[in-house]
Amino acid sequence: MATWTDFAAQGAEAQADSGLDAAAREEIALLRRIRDGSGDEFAEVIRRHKSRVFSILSRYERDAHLVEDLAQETFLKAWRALKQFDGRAPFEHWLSRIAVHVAIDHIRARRDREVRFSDLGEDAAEWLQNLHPTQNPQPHAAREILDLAMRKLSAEDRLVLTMLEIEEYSVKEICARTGWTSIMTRVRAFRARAKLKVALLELEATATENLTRQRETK
Amino acid sequence: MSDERQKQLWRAARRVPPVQPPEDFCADVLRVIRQDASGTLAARSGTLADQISALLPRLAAAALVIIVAAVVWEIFADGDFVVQLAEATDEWLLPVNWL
Repeated sequence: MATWTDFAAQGAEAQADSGLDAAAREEIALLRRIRDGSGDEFAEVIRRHKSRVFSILSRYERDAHLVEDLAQETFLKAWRALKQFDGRAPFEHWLSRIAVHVAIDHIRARRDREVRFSDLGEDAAEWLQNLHPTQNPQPHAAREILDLAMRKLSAEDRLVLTMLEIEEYSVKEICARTGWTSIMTRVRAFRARAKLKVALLELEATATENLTRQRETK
Repeated sequence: MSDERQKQLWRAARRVPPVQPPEDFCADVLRVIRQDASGTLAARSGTLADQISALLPRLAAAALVIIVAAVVWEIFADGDFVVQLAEATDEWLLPVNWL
């Protein structure tokens, strides 16, 4: 494994050679200073990357306080593992990968696997009942429906669908962020889509049943 | 659910704005990092059990050195080391009049 000095020297040289901008080289220098003991400068790293980290984690958790906790955990892990950053890829990619793994661990640890229709808000329930077929769902309602349906999926299935459909990453980008192979990513995406479709159909069926019951009661 | 409705869901979900970092987020993370660093230092100093565990290999090495020295003495030195040791024990450690 390359040492920090190696990384700083080789990484900076490699990036200079590959024509990357001055900002990337400056960031390498900043990380080197932090590694050499200037810990307070890590605040600058946090300041630069916090929006990106929050953006990633917000895709997997809706509760703002939990997102903040997960973001803290991401930066803490990055701090602890800073020696392992070899400078071959941009720091932002390396940090994003940590954030993704924090998100996966969080999804795995969650216990709310049960899909309950009553967990949906009014907008989401109405859209599922298909009262106005041409109407698009409200963003928050769509998120609620997808989150609820994806409770039935594994953490990895949920991750691949979120990356493909929400973040609109290519398969190559997903491989870079997860460490999966291209085939594994494609197979996982295919199976995850099939599982999600079943879960959404079940939700839709429950919504229709509820609507019928309400009409009968009236 | 039709594919078109699923697409509608994804399109809408993409428009949900991400959670914004709070103002004092940097300070909070730095505080956590400092706590983590001080916790690591405390863990390094260790509990009593950890310190004993750290000492045990040294004690074992010291015992091994004494055993090897005794064996070497027994083989190469004049006299019977075990007998001498027994005499010394009788005279100094367990004297008759002491019992």
